[in-house]
Amino acid sequence: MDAKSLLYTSSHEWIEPEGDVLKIGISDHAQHMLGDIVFVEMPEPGKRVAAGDELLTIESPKAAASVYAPVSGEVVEVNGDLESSPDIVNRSPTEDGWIVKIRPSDFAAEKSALLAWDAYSRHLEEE
Amino acid sequence: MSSDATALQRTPLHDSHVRLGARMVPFGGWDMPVVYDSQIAEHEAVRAACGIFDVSHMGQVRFRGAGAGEFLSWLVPGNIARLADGGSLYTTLCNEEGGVIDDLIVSRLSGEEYFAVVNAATREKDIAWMRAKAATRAGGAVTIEDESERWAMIAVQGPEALGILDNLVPEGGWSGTKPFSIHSVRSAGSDLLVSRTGYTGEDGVELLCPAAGAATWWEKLLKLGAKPCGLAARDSLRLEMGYCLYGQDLDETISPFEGGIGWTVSWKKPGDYIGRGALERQRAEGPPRTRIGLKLESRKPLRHGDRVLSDGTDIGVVTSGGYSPTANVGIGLALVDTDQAEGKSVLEVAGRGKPVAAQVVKPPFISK
Repeated sequence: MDAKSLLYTSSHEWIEPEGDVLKIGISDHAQHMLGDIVFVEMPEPGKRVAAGDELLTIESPKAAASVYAPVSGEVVEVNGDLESSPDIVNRSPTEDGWIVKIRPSDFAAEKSALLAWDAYSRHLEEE
Repeated sequence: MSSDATALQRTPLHDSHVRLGARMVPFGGWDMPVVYDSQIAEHEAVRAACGIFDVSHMGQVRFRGAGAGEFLSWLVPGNIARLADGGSLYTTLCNEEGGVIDDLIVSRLSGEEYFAVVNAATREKDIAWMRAKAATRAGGAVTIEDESERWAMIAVQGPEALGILDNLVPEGGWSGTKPFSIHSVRSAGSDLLVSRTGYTGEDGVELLCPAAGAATWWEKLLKLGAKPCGLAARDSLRLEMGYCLYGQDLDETISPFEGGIGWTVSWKKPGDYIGRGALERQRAEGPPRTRIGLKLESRKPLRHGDRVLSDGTDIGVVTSGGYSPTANVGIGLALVDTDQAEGKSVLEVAGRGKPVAAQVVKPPFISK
């Protein structure tokens, strides 16, 4: 998916609707700021989260960063390829480097808080 | 440490780092390159070929005089008298309680001239301590000069480092020199000191050159194929070898025994030295805390400050943690209660996220 077609949060997660679930990852900007990603601490599938909760942790050798749930719902799948090759997030942050899939519980209401590409780009410039 | 960027000191190579696109961070009061492109690529270049590091923030001290050797023998627990001309020694400055004020490399240039390289953040404290101690010694036939402003220092490290140095400084024949030796050489109009030391576990040197011409030497090394490496790779390289970082793994409350560098304390050397009483007591009684290596089964990096648990009891702390690109797992050095860690082969580490089981190992974490 073209990075410009995704939805974003101000905390640098991206969201892509895929059927009745949402694919979640981190933005190219976020992977660049973190540097070499060496570990992703995944949530258990089945975990329920509210929008804004800490969803998982991504670690580079020098830093650990929280990834927050962009929407409320249930974790239904994690990207198992990242266990042995977390650097996929560096190489392909918005495609092969997706991290989890969430089945949203209230996407219709929560969607309005997400940013389209233009708004996210402006946010990056201001940050 | 100041967070005000304008107050940070700059090394003579600062412009080169900015031009290479390094990410600069404050480190011990200096504006230093933490990574140029990829920490892991830099780390791997040093293990497989050759990397160069700007370590000009470190301090240099020269000791001169008929009493210099005797003074140093009393100042540090290492066996200075064993050094021949051109020999170097890794040792510590200890206080009277046996705590470590700094770790340093002392080299004997001649019978009346010695040279030391000390850490950047501790340099002023170290030199004040050395001068105060020299003032209390009768005779005082030693002068102590802070030469830190005069020198830039470039660490050239990796299996190809000595070959590259043979091209850079053809006066040397560097492959034939021994580790822990130091050489004065005049090359391309500069007076250099080539020290066969490093902080990576690889072959190589630390090249001391006059600050004014340092950028020329750095650029020549880049042209010879050396990869510029930042402090982040320097940290993961030294951690894989289990080398101590002063301020984390060693400080004034940690003795050389607790810090895992008891081997730097000489029992054979004649005469008294600062901290000898305390160190002998600790040797007889055993150190209350012990340094261990911890190794995970996953890639999760251990972190400075993570707690170490044994059957749910907090027995110590991770002093340096990280990820080993070579072993592809999380690793760390920890300072733990000696009695409670005795005989334990697996401990638990609690930090960010879920607590994890860690194997107790004796560093280095990689086989060299």
